[in-house]
Amino acid sequence: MNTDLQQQPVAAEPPTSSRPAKRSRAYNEMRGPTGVSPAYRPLAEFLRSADASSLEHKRTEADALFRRRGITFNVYGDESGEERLIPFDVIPRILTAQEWSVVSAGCCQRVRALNRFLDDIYHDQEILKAGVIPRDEIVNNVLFRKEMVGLDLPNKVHAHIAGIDVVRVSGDQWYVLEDNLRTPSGVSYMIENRVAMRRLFPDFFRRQRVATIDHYPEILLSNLRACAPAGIEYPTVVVLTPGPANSAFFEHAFLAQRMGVSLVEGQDLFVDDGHVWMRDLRGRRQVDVIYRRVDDEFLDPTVFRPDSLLGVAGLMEVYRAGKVNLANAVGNGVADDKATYLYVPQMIEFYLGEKPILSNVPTWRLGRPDELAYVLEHLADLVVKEVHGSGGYGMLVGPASTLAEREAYRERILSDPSDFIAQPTLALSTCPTFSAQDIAPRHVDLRPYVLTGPACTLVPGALTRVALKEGSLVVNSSQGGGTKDTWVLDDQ
Amino acid sequence: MLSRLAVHCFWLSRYLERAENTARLLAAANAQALAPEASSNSQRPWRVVVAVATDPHRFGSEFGPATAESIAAHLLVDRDNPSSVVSCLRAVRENARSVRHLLNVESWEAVNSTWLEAREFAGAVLEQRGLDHWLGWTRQRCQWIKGALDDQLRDELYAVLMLGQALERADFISRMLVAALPALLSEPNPEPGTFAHRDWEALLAAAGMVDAYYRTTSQPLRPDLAMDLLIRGTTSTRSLLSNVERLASSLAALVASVGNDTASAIAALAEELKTCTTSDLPSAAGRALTRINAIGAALQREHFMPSDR
Repeated sequence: MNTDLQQQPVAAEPPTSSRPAKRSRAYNEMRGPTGVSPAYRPLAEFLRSADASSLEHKRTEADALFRRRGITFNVYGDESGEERLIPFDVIPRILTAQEWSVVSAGCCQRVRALNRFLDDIYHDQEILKAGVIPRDEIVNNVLFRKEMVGLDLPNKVHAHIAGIDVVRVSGDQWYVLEDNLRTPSGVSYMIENRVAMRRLFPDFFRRQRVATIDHYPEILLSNLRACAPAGIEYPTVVVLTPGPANSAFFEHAFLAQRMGVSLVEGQDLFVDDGHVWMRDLRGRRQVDVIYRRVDDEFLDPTVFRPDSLLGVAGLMEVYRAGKVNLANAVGNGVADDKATYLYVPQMIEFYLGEKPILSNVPTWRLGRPDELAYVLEHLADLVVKEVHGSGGYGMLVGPASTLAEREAYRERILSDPSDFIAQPTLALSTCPTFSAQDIAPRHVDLRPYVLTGPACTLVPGALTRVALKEGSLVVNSSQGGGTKDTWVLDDQ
Repeated sequence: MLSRLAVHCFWLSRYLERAENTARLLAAANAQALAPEASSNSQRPWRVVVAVATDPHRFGSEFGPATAESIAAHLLVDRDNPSSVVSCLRAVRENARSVRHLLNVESWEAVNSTWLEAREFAGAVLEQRGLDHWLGWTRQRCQWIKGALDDQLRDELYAVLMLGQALERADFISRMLVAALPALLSEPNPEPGTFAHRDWEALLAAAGMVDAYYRTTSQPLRPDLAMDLLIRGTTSTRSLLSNVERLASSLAALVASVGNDTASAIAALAEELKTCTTSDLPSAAGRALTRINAIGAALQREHFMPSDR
């Protein structure tokens, strides 16, 4: 048995039946074992006196505000009537400065290691030479981009913007579920949720000092400017979007507006004379840094998918010549893949010589016979995922599955075990949430955004996603999830 | 600014102006239709509306005789008519969405909330509160959006907005003159209180220039003075000439005028309007309509199409 498995810290008693894990086991962030936590006291007091109709009123007000400001996401097959609001819960989530300092230091540490890792595997591959990670798992990964080999990036930064998904299972135990190093989204909701909360509940902000997050675009802008190709004093930065039909278009426009940079589509850019240019009303203008929200495969039809209309022909050549910089870099997928995720704690020790602040979720690799045997024996208790899957598809949630589903999944696993990993079913922490008619605990996760420039920075806040359905552990907005404003208390 | 975004700004501005112009035109005709004489000649108030704001052949075959109801159905709530108020407001919103990162927050919110209400437009909504209510609402909303848009940086985006507005206004007013003048001029000296006299007033009202007429002339309504004001009133922001001049200045803020054919065409048109004799004004209006169309096409072709260089 692998050593890291024995640290399994979740005291998950195997559920006896195939029903959702009991809610009572989840850590309640407002009401700990010793009563209401001090950070939540003013809120708890408010909630005791608030009736459902006043909260309902606030919720209606919030919806109208989001609708008017056009803070929507598109449902594909765009008829403008089909723009949807992501459900917003009017009850905030509160973290103390102390709690936040652990999460933020942990996320920052992870992203520092991941950036070192990306630069290493595309250069000397020290970590592979040292045998910390099997060479095969990296260089044969489909997300390893040979186009990146040997490319020196400004400040060696590959993941300028990272979204780290963390969950909490107890007062001081957080787990990292996933690192998002490609084009993580959602930060605009983090900022707009705060705007909405300030309008809806100004009194809260007088009673408690909530750390501000509004300067996120400012930090992003200065980082983007700082990563321009050498020798450019006043770089032109743009945001590259797939266009208004993209589900995250609002966010692309939001960030471009806050940073005061052009929001471009692939058709607005072209390559000539070794540089990238944009088609400006007055002629062409050189582009130096592209904050791209277009996936790798669509960036350059001459290198990746030839049918892409979203990219810029010849972009990779300019990029490789160091005449334009991309944020995030190409080829980051190899580092946030589920297979690589397993090695992040070792990366932290290898590159930084530090102990990981945040733990990985204990994970079984089904390609290993002993682990496979264990997992097959405990299917009803575990979550099984495809190594290269994402978005919650093709996943087995053991405690919520039927015997027939488990049997079918067993067959799938056995056809190629190395394609799967398994993890314990985590009891995500809960926060009070206004659901339907009353206030009830609902499971939440947390996505802080880590910005890497000359330094590694997080604004004190994050996006909290909440599973609005009772008992649900799925916080994804496509499956009944919503968001909450997340407060980090400022104890200065 | 990006050429592609300039196209969105250009059309945002044109559709916004078109929605307001249509609302003014309809309101003026609607008032005319309530005149006592209208009962014996119910088509007359709508004749200009049909000519200016619809494709007359298509309108006739689809909607039959022009009445307040059929006109409103086509020009206010018809989603298949790209120039109906509801379609214009939708186009304003869709164009604004593509450039929302360049607009101030107030403009975007004004545009977006206007569309959120306008998309409820349908026959039933129309009947509930009446045509006049919605025409007033449309003018108010357009003015609100323009007010917010005015509070923008005086940069290229603003110049493009002004260019679109000036072009749309110049087009609208020359279109209206071409449609209305032949009938109006067949009665050279209409007496106050007659239908023909009110036709002149309706024309000024549709142009949004009733008050402008009385303030600039301090005279009872005279066809020659009204025509002069509509075509080349210098203090009005709505006269044909002032919009042609605004076209010139907005374009100059965007591209070098020297050697620019479109700029030359605009300058020539302004010159002709300034120097032509009063008796020549009706035919000048006709020529202006053709030229404005050509200028609009050239602007799109030369400045609002993405190109490689």
